[in-house]
Amino acid sequence: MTRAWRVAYWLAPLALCLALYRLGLRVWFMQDDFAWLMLRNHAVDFHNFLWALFAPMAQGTIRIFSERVFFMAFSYVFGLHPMPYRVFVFLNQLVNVALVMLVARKLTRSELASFLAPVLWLANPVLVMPMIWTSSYNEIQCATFLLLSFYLFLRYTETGERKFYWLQWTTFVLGFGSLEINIVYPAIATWYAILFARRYFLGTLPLFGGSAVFAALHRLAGNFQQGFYYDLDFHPGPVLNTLVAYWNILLGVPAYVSLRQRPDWWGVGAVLLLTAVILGFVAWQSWKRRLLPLFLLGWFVIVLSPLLPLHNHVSDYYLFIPAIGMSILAAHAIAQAWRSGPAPVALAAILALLYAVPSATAGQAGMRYYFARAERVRALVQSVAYAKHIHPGKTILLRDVDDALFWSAVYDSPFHIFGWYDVFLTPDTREQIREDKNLNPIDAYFLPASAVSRVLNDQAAEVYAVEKQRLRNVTRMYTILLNAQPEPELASSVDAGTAYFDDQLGAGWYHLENGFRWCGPRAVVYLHGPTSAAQKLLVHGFAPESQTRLGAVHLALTVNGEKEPVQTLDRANSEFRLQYDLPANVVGQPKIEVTLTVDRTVRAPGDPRDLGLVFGDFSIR
Amino acid sequence: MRYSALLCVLGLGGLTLGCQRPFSITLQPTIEESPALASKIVVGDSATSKQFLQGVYDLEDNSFRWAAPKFSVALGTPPSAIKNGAWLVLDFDLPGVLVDRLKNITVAARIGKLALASETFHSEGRHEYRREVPASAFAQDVTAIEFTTDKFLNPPNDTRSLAFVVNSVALEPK
Repeated sequence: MTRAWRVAYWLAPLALCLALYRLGLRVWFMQDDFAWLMLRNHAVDFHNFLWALFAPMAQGTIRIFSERVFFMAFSYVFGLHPMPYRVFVFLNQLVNVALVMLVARKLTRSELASFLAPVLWLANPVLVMPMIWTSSYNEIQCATFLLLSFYLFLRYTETGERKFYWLQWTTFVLGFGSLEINIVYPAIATWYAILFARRYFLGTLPLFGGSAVFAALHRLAGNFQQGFYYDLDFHPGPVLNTLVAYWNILLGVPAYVSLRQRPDWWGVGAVLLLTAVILGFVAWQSWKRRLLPLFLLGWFVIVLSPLLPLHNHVSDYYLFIPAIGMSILAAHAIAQAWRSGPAPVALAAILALLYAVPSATAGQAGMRYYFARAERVRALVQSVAYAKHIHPGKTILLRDVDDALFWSAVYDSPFHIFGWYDVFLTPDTREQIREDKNLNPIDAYFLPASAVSRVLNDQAAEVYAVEKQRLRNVTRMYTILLNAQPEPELASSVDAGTAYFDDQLGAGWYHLENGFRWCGPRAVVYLHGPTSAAQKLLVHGFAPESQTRLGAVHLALTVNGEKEPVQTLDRANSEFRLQYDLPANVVGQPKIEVTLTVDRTVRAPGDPRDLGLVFGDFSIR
Repeated sequence: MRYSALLCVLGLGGLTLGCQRPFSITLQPTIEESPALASKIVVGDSATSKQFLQGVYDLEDNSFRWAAPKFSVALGTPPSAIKNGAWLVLDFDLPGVLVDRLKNITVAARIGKLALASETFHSEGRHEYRREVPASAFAQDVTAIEFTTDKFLNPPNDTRSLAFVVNSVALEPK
C-alpha cells in the first residue's frame, strides 16, 4: 500500500462518518439535554457543585464524564450554542471509528475487514441517536473507553507487557464515568481470553472485582426510579422478546420497510435470511475451530445482556456498542469470502448491500427527522428568549404547541435554565398533547384558565402561537376570545407560591414570598371539585424548624366543612406531602372550600405575623 | 503536593462560582402584533389569519377554509364606525354537496349582546351576508364577532362539522 493509499484507507471511514452524520454537527438541543444543561444552575455553592457532579440522577445514574462534566463545562463556556458540543461529540466518534479499525485489525488480521468494520457500523441506524442527540453522547464516550480497554488488553496478550494490563485497568475504571454498561467489559476480556489467550484468563478475573465494586457503589448511591419504562423482567419469555426486538433493529431492514411502507414480509424475509447467514457462518467457523465469529457474536450478547430485562424500554441507541461486535463479525465474513473466490465474494456483497443500503437509508431518514425536530425546539426556545427580552417581567403563554414539540422541548423545561418559571402553555393547548400515564403528570405545564384570565386582564402576560418555526404574538386576539367565553372555572390545582392563584386564596394567607406562602392559624383555599370520587386532595408544604422545635404541630383540614383526619408534623425543616380522600358530595362541584387550621403559630423576631406553616401546591388529582 | 491540593480546591471553587454565569442564547425574533388589527380578513392571508379566533378550520389547498357552525373573528374597528356605524360583510361559498344535503342554511351574527338579523341561503355558489351595525355596537378598537349557522354537515371519516367555505369577513365603513 502506498502512503497515499494508506492515508485514504484510514481517512475514508472518518469521511464517511462525517458525510452520513453531518446534520448532527448543526443539530440543536432537545429533550433530556435541558435537564443536563440546567445542572449548572444548581451548583450555587461548593456543596451543591459536588452534588451536581456526583449525586445519582435519572434512574440513579452517575455519569460524571459523559453527562455531568461534559454538560457543565460546555454550558459554562458556550451556553446554549450547540456547535461546540457537537464538534466535541464528533471528534470523539472519529476516535471510535479509528479504534474500531484498530481492534478489527488486531482481531481479524485483515486490512479489508479493518476497513469494512467501521463502514458497516456507521451504516447502522442505531448510530443515529448518539450522533444527533447530545444527551446520548454517553454511548459514544463509553464506546471509547470500552474499545480502548479491549485494545490495550489485546496488546497485553500480544506482548505480555504489564503496562498494557494496567493501562487497560485505567481506561476500564474511567469508563464507569461514562455509562453503566461499562460493567460488561470484564466479560468481554474474559470471553476473549477463554477463546484465544488462556494464559491471560486469570488476569481478567480481577476486572470483575472492579465491576462488582461499581455495582455495589451504584446500588448504595440509591435513588433508583424504576417505574414503567425501567421495569425489570428477568423471565425468559420477555427477555427473549426484547432480544428479538433488538436483533430486528440491528439488521436495519425492518426500519427501512416501515419507513418506505413496504410489505412487512420484506423485513421478515430479510431478517430471517441475514440471521440464518450470520448464525450459519458462526457455527461453520466454530466447527472449523475458527472462534473469532463466536467471540464477536458473544460481544453483541454480552454488551446487550444487562439491557434485556428492560422490556418496556427498547431503545435503538442501546445497540451502539453491541453493534460494533456484529460489524466486525460481518467485515470478517466478507474478508473470508474475499479470499475464497468470486462466488462467495458476490454472495457476501449481496448480503452486505441487503443490510447496508436499507440501514443507511433508514439512518439518513432518522437524521433528517430528528434534525427537523430539534429545529422546532430551537425556534421555540430562542423565540421565547426573544419574547422575554422584549416583554421583561411578563408571563409568556404558548398555544398551538403540538404533541411532538411538547415532548421534545417543553416537557424538559428548557425555560427553567434561564430562571423563567413563568412560561406556560394555554389550557386549550392541552387537547393537543397525549399524556403518558407512565411519566409524571403534565398539569404544571399548563396555566389554568382562571389564572390565564387574570394575568391577561392584568396585562401581565403575552400569548404566542406556534406557527411553523416562528412564534406569533396573539395576545390581543386570545384575550378577546377568552373574554367572549363564560367565566372560567376555578383551577383544581393551586400553587400558593405564585401570584397566579391569588383569586383562589381566601382569608388567612400572608403575602407571597420566594415561591411559597405562610398561612396564619387558619387559612382558606378554593378549588374546583374533583371530577370523580377516586380523585384525592394533595397538599404540599413545609414544616420549618421554628415551628417544630416547639414540638409536633397538628394540621386540621376541612372540605366544605367536613373534617378530614388531623395530620401531625414533627420533622423539622422537612417537606410534607399529604393526601386526603374527598367527600363524595363534592364531586363535580364548581367550587369547594378547603380550610386549614394549624394548632400552634410562632413569631419570628421583628415579624408581627402569627405564622402557621409554609405551603406550596394544593391539587385535586 | 500541598500546592496541588490547594490548586484543586481553588479550581473547583472557581468552577463553582463560574456555574453562576448566565446562559447565553441566540434570540429569534417573534412576529409581534401590529398596533391595529385589520378590518378585513381574507382567507389565505397569513398576516390576518390569526384574527379567526375559533371555529375556522385549517387552510386547504392554499385557497379555502371550512367554517364550523359557530365561529368567531376579531376585526379592527374602522375609525368612523364609532360615530357612523359600519357594514358587516361575510363572503362565503356554499358547495353543491352541502346544498344537496341541507337544502338551505341560515346564517346569523352577534356582536357582544347585539344579535344581527339572520338570512337563509338556498343555492350553491358564492354568497354575501351583509348587515348594518349601529355605532353603539363599537366600543373599542377591536370588535369580536360571532357567526352561527342552523345546519352543518358531518362528512364520513371526518370529525369536523362543516357549515360553509369562508372567503372573507370585513367591517366596511359606511
